[in-house]
Amino acid sequence: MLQHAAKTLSLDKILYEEGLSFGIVRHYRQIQPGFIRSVDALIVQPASGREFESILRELRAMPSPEEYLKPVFIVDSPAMRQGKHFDTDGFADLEDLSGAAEKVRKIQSRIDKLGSNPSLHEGFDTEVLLKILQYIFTRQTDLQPQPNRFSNIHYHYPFASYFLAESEEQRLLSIFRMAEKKGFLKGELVDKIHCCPECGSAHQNLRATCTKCKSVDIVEEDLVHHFPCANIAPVSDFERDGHDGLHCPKCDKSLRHIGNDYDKPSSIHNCNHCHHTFQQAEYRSLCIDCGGDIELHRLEEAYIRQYQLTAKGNSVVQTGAITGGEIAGPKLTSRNDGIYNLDVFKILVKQELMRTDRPERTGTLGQVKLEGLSLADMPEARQEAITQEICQIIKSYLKNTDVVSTKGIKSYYLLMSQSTLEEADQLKDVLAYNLHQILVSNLKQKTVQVRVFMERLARQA
Amino acid sequence: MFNLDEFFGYWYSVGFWKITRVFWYFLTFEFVRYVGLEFFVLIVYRLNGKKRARRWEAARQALWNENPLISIIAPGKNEGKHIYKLVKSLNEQTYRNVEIIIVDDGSDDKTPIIGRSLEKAGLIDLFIRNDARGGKASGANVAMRYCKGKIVLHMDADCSFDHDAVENILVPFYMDEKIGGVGGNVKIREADTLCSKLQSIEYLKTISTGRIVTSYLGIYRIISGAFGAFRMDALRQVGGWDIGPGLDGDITVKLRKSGYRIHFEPSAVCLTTGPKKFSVLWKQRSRWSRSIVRFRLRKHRDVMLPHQNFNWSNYIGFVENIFYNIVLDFKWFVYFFDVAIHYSRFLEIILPFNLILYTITGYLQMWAIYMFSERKKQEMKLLPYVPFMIFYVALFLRSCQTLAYLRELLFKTSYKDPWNPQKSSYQAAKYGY
Repeated sequence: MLQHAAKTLSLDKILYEEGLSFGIVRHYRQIQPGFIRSVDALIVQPASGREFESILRELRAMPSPEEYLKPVFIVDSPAMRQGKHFDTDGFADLEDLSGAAEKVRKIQSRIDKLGSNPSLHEGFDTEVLLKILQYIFTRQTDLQPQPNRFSNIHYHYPFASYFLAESEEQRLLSIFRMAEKKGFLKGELVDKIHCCPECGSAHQNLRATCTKCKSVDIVEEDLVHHFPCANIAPVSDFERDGHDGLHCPKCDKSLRHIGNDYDKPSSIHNCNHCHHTFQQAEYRSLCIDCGGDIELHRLEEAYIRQYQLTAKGNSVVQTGAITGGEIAGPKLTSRNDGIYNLDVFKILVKQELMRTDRPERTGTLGQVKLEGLSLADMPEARQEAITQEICQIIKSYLKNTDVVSTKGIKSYYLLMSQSTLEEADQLKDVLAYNLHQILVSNLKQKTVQVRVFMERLARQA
Repeated sequence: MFNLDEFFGYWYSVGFWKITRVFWYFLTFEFVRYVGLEFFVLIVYRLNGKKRARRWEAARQALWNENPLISIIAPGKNEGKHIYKLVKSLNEQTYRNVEIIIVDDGSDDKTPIIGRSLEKAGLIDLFIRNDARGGKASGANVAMRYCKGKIVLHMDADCSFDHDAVENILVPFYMDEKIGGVGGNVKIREADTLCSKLQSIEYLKTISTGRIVTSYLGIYRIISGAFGAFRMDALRQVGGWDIGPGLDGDITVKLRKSGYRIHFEPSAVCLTTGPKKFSVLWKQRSRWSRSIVRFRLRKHRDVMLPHQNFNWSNYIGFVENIFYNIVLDFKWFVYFFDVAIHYSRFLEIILPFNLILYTITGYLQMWAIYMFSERKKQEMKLLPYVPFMIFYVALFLRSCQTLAYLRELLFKTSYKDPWNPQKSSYQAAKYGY
């Protein structure tokens, strides 16, 4: 049956081995929750390296650990040999998937040990970090950076790099630094990179330049010292057209033996652009990505490390104990302006539920979802600031007794303890329309859609 | 017991001819040259002051009208600690259209770091570092190769300058177009030890006034390496500096032989640090003395021989230099033995009288110095040390010079002087430079 399946491989084909199902994926559009959840592992057979990356990017961005931690294999092919296997759980032999099946079982057993994900509400960086910790835990391996010329930081981290655009990988390093600081990961130095202070790219071209005009059109010449007459001049002064060897222009003698009658004590540069003479060229760096011409001392050094999970990191992923202060990700703290962090919000909801158990009491739970919001080029700090602003905008439409919380920039929760569902429904359209207008006009988010849901506060809500 | 009445009574009773017989060395050579001739020239120089001032002002105007770029070069080894002070001193100058080129000749201290920093900060225009030491001449030559100025100022990094020194050393080039080089007035900066104080007096006598005289007579023969200016075209014509020691005297002779006039400018004042210990001074003066033999008697002996480019002023300058430095040096010993043999019984009278003669001469010379000095108060403090000069000149310097002359004449020791790297000295000896 397995042989037959391999021979008749097609889109959405599923192979079975030892009771495990392996979904064949050739295109990123196949990465759908239903399909991913229906198989135990994926075998990726993309047409190109780019397609491979798109598939993994889609997969790793999925919300559930069962999805984003799904074991992934590739079929050995020339296109996939260029370092792609580091991003997967290995090569799969379509003729014999027993090896892959064994790996899948191990990964699944580790996934089963994961705790719940309470911290997924703590912001993007925390979310990424938790996923990385879970990945290292389930794969029981170190996170080893792989040299990659397409990466902004020259290195690609398996699994982790897919959460960020190639131009944003500096942010990944800051996530790792945060994890090391908190004691979740232990790093071992692999390399040092030098990044542009403007755009963070490590794609730098080091050039010797003129100290005066910064031109790269400079020529270096040896200085020749003729011992008998103490003449020192650039080697070109000692060269004569049509003659081999060197000839002293001062004393008219031929230079015979370096170290004996002459030597080359140093060299000197001449700039063909401004004709400035200088001995030590100024080394500058051209940022290939942003075009910045940078003095070397301004380049920011960053460390590339390979990471392993610490005991604390192990505990965190197994107990799901990353809460509140565990990870110093961006979060909204409880405030007296009616905007609360999610943990506090949940407590308030529970209390309100107990209070509204009595029929004469009423209350409404609402959710605002921002769909189609583009965050590709938005730094985390900016996202947090916008999230706070949106919370305040929402709060401005609510009563003083209502509270707001957020699960990140895309999702907001409303607890309107003094409003009936009918009253809350009247607010839906106004809130959706005005928020949409603000996002479109202020943030140029033309594709954003604001969806508002209201539901009577009840235990099943 | 020394009796003054007896002492003066004796000299009164012996008469003029007897005194002349006993002090023939002083009266024939030193008094005539250093008192008679010098005072005569200084008086004439003083009397011509107004005329010279008019020419000076016209030349000064011509300099400012043209405002040429001047290249300042300072080659040296382990001079890093002096470079910043030098640059600051140059920044105070009235003449500012200058480029500064510092050459580090294989320093093994922090000179490269200091030089590069100053170059980066824009305080100097070019810093050239030669990893392998090549000697002072090679350092000056590489600087010259990259000079863009019309006139080159060669200076030592440990020097500092009066605020108008650069301007004043440039003016003579606009007074006479045949001038190829101008020497500055080098004085000792901090006379805090006896050794420094005696050198201060010596510099004032031999440079500050001595060179006014030789320059006026057209026989000025050494532009100090500490502060000298050269026309760039003249410098290139003579091929720059040749291997030392004594390269400053050598290049002056080369310029004179090429037909250029050499001028001494007393108002271009430069302060330098002289050796503070007699042991260090001994080495320095030995080197200078050896160079007189090497360059005057050997390399440039053609100046004293009849040839196509024979020049009387060069000849006289050379003969005067050799006679007063080398010949009289040995002749002094002849005089000493003469007195010791013929007047051995009167030594206790002759020696004090000698001391009195030289001291009186010394004070006369100091008076002449004050006539031309811009630092009268400061230099007045040197007066108590004038009587020591006879010991300094007659004993210390003469011993040092005589030994150096003999060693150079017999063994050519200047080629073994560590002041130059051995690789250069070996080649210089091979080709007879």
